[in-house]
Amino acid sequence: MMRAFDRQKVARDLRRPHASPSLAEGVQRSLEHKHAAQRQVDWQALRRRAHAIKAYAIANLGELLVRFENEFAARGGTVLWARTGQEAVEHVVAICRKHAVTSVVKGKSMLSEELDLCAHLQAAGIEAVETDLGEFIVQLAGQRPSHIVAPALHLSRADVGELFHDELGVPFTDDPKGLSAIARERLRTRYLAAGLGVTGANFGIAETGTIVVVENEGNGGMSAGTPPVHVALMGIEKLIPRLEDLPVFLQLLARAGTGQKLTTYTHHFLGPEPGKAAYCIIVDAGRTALLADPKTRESLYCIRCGACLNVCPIYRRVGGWAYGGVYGGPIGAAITPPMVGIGAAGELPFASTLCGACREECPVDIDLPQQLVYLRRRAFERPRSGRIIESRAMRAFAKSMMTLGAYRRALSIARALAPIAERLPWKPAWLGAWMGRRSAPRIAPQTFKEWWRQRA
Amino acid sequence: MNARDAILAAIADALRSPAPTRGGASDESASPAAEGAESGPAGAAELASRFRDELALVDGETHFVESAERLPRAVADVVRRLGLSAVIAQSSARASHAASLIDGARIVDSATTMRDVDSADCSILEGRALLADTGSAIVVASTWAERLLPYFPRMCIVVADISDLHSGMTRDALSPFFGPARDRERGEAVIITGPSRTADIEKIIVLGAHGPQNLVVFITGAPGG
Repeated sequence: MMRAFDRQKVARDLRRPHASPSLAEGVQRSLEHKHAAQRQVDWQALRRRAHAIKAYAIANLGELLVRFENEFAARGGTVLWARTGQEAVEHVVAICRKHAVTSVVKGKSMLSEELDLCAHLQAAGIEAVETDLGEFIVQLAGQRPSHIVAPALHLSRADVGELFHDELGVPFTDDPKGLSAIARERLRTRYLAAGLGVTGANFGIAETGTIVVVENEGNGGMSAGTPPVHVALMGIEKLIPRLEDLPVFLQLLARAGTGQKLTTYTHHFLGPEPGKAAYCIIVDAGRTALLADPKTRESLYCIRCGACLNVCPIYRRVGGWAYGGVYGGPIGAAITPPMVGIGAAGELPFASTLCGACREECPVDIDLPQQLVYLRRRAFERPRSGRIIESRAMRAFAKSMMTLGAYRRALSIARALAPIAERLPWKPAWLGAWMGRRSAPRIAPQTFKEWWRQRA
Repeated sequence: MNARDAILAAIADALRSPAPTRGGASDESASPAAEGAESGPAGAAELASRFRDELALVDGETHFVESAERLPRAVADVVRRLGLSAVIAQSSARASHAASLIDGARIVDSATTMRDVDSADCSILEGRALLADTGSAIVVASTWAERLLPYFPRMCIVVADISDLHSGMTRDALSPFFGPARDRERGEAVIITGPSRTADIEKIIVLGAHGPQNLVVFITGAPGG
């Protein structure tokens, strides 16, 4: 049930100036903090190690998942499996029904965004509220997060002030401290009333069946610990084999994501205390499609730090919504097409300059540019309308490049036709679409050699 | 085929084609976590001052106390100075000792209610380990009420001894974080690095987003305490 990729909506979003100055300034601030924090550790050694641990975990995924399941159950928890987002939502609703829950609090979780969990719970008559401040803001605004780590990065403080004034009936303020206090007060009562808390899982430890969640606000700890029932949503790729692998990732994740040495809270959920219940829903939702192709498998190493977004020149210009799916930036362009189908999101890998900054910044050293190039090829190879004209044009272009004579002939034809094409009041459909957004390169009236001969 | 079997079958099927390898052996995770240098008595002062500086960078405060005997007075003085009236402490010997001179301080027990936790304006927790490199404290909670103490009150006090201080994420330092998991204990272990914070509005840091606005760590037996 991954959110549908809506091509027309993406086109509309791209025309809107929602990539606000606060987005650019925000990512720039993250980068400055990050580079300072990276210098305090042997960054390259850590990322090599993280890459190797993830490679091992993914190569042994089935075995590790079963181990995690057994250990989680031995600690008094219940593991449920979901092939699709739909199944995961059904599990959460069924748990709510079983425990007579009518109100849910939810910590930050990208997987829950994939499932559109809050909306589905509301539709099932269960109140669901986001507790991370950024998520609370975008939920109130009826929007979607624009960044993996900072969901409301696209909104200015004045936007948030107006939103709180309109939706919560409080006097307008654009003071972040005041706005945060309003959210704190509103949400405190929700924790106390909730029958169930949902969190994500940054890491599942196969060895112990325990779950690690990192965050800064304290809402993750409160969502997991306050209500009598805790549900952790975990993608199949979140496993690491052993506890001793964890410090490697803890040292990388906060530095890469927010420029902190460590997040304020690193929760290690050990299992339900007496009188409480804990569930872990292990979700596939397209991940086995990434796994099945050896060339996209590496993207399952992602620890969702958002670092690749912060350095991507495309993301910094267009913001997260323009990618259509839940995940924006280079990682979104790499994982969304295989997860939802190349036919539905094949354009995303083209939203990259292939500058390589994302790979440089990735704390687990995922070769994102190579994956994007590979996905471009897959997108090109799929059958679609207009393909015949495009492939014939490319064949003709290739032929014209084969010999010097053919090249010269093609060039002289292009030189003669280009000015005419530019002056045409009407252009055929595909040519019109192309030229509507691009300027055709100007062809010089003569070649350099012709010019040289003339000059001599 | 149920969801579990279907997912495991899909994984097994997917992994039949091996991934292209590059660099590093895939079994590298079998090697132990990186070991940092542990400090002997000579390094304690340096570690203590590094801890204080790092915690200050994330807006926390460190108080050094000469001995465990003087801890209750030092804690009570801070609580009085800040005008805190409802204090709740973990049931551990060290945390309850730290709260012993505070009027009306409550120690978590089986009769503790959600109201007790929610109405408290200060919590006192035992730090099982301190990490100097990040200014972090490791706290372990095994009951529902103790799990909430790091988050609900406006102020959080952590008490620890100089012998709990480590440089960074070494195996020894993390043993309170990992040990309860290996021993199949329930509840939560948490590494706390500063007071609750958010930067969700224009990346401007605000303290006390949901949890405490103030975090104070008391270290007993510290040089210069």
